[in-house]
Amino acid sequence: MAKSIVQYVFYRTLQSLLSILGAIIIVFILSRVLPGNPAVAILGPKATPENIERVTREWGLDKSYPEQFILYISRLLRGDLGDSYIMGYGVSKLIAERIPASFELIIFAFIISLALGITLGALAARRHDTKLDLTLTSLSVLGFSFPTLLLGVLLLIFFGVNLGLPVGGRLDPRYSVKTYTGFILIDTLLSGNINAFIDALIRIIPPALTLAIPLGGLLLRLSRNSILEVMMQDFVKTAKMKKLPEKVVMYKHVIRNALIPIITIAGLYFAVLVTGDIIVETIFAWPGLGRLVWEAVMLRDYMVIQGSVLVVSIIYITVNAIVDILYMYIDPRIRE
Amino acid sequence: MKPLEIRDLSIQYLTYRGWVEVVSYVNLDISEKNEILALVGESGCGKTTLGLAVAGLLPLNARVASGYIKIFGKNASSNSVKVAVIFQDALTSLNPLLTVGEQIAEIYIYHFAKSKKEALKEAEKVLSEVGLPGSFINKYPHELSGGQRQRVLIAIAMALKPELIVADEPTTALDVTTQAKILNMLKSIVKSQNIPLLYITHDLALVAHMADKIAIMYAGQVVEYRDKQALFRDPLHPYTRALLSSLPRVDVEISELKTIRGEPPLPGNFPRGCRFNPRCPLAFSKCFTEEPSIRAINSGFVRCHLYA
Amino acid sequence: MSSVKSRFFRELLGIKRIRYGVIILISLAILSFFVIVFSPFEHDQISYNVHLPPLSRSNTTWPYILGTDNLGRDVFTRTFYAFILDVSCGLAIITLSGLIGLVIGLVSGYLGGLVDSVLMRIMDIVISIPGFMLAIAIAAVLGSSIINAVIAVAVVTIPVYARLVRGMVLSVKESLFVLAAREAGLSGLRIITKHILPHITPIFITQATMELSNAIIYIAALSFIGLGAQEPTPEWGLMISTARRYIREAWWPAVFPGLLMFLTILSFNLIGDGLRDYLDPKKRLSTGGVG
Repeated sequence: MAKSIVQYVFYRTLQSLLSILGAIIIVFILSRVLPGNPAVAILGPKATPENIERVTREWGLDKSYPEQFILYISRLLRGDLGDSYIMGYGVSKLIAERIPASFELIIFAFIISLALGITLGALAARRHDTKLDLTLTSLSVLGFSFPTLLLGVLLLIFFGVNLGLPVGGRLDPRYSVKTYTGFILIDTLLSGNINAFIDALIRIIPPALTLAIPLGGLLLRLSRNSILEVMMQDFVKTAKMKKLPEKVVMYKHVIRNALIPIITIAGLYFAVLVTGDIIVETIFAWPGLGRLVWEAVMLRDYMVIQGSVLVVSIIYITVNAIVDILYMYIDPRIRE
Repeated sequence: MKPLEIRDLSIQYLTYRGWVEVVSYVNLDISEKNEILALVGESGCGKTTLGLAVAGLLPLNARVASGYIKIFGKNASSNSVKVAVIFQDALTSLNPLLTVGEQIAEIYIYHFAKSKKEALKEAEKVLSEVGLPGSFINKYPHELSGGQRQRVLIAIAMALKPELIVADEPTTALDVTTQAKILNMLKSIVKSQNIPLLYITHDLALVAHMADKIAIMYAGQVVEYRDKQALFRDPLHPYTRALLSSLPRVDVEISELKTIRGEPPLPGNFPRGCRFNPRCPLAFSKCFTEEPSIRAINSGFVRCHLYA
Repeated sequence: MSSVKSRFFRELLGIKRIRYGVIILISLAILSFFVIVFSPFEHDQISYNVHLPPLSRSNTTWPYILGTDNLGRDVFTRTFYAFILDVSCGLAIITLSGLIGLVIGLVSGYLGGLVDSVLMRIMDIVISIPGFMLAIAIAAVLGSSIINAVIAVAVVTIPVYARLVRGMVLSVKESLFVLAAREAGLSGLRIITKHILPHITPIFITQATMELSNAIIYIAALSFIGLGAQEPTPEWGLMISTARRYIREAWWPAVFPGLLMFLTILSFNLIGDGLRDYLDPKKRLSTGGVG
């Protein structure tokens, strides 16, 4: 049994690497399909003849496509996504700077939606077919149908205008905090600066809610249905027959089995989260990877756009692989 | 105190047509600790529901409309009563995510306050009592064969140290040889450990080997309840007779298998009078207007106007 | 509180949902045409009446029902013009990607072998990049226009249909009536059109309806970050993006386009959901367990 888990991890990792290669190929093709001279597009307003010559040499734009591709991959393997002449930094550096902000936002939103969605879903399952259940289910459908564009704007107005709270950005620029983890919520606590912590908390809640509400709605409905379906299975009768304490029956037998489709869907949802994240970061001026994409689009900075697409794809493929492996670990039936 | 005492038991299910009666005024007993009572009937007659009720496992959309079930004097649905159930489909009756050992060990952990290690040791022991190797504690349900899984269910039943065992068609999904092994195992447990068994099946032939007493169920009612020998020697109710005559026999030449014409009625659609009247070859006028009541016979009772 | 009851109601609800969805949709459509014909404002008509709140007076027959935006344009008129635009784009997207995906799925599923492997490999590679990011990359390369945005989103959604259709073709391919048709000597194309397609169509249509909401969201999102519709085109995402900058002065130019978008998406989701329940009610929960 242990052998097949190792085998599967190996096989799955191989698959992921192939997917990453595929993503690299697509991004490469797109980058060379630009109308006109790619060097001009990359340089934007800085397209002087010397720069054009430098970029052409750097990326081998006068060579054949296979040669260009090899050059591209070799730079990638060194972690070099190229330089953004428009923004004036290396793309890798730009992205690396922005990732912690996006991570913090997404993880925060994820935790909220998991906590709310699963507990409320379990509640709806326990009191199924009652008014409470109907209310919760309708709310979840509503939450899930809200387009991020509308929800973000509404929350921005509610928190920023109606409540008068500070919105936008991660932290009031008057505070300065040492970077321990890159997660401002944690760093402010570690620095002992409670005011900064509260400020950061206030600023992260509206964008996190915007992301969490649709996911939470989905998780609510999903957990409710999954738990109900599992509760009707025969092995729950067996567990009840053993006259085990109710908590044990619920947690050890029902919820573990109910979690399986929940994990699958939550993993798949990552792609939706990406879409939402870009919009949310733009609405709330959150300095993360999503907002970087928006800035790059405004400035027509192709290097940054491509680099971001690639990085996000790699993260996406990795998350999918982890979810699959997790899934395999939880459900022994898959291991065959 | 009797191991099992059922009096005037009626069970209803909630459907979109309202509450529908599935079991009607059933009276049954198990009098001895090592007795096997077989409950025989076609599908839809309410026997599974009755079995679930005895085990205290009725679903939320069912209710006991009248009567009671007492196990050694205690209410069947109370938490102090331990009734083991052996379900028909062993694959779906076992948690697919836990090992066999874990599923047996939990009983020892929660009922007998054993540590996880001790519990697993006990699990190994009880597995060997049902003829499975101790190493199976690390196996998952889907890795076992049907017969092995069924034996795991029996092991779980034994580990519980129950006061009563309910077996609901435990061998229907198995091949004949395995069937025989399982049945023999069950019988020996009952007789050697003095645990009463309520054995639910549609197969009258199986019952000939297993049972001490037999109750025939039709459309939610017990229509005949006799000692095994008495029932086979001299079946009283027309339904029982029809069931017996439809059994294939190797010692007598039969030109064709007799079947009972018609279908059993579904709950909510019971005919007026005796519920068997559409299919009964001996039905007469009273059968269509009046429900027959129970008539005591030596070694049991019968519910039929022919004997009123 | 019974599961038989809930199954019964879910079937009914399926039809109810379709009904509500269609009602909302048709009301919005009628309203849009009404607006286009009768509104005294052009969708790009700039004026000095900047950021007037909803129901402010104008010097025409209509008030500014939903107020004006940062360029003095009537929000009500623009929002409904945007309805037409966004829904049309959505329809274009599902038609484009649906047809191409259908063909790929049919070919791949029916022919199998090398063709199938190659096509599915390509589909897998496309899927390995999150949809929105790929759409951004494609739209950035093609140029910022709404047509390019439509193309980008269509390309990104092709694999959804291709896989769906291929899966269904595979499951139907080995069934008796197809084998019989092949024995009878019918050509591959004939078999596909007469036997396989009718089976596939209901599920395909349901999927397409649900993808329509997605398509609209994508178009709006692309325009929101600057890659789709450009000023002065009335498009929901673009309107929200422009209005966001002035959100403290005027909330209405940002909220109402979003609301309309929400209603539109909701109605398509209802229709798609209802279709799914209606076509396959057995998929829903449970037995009542009688007997």
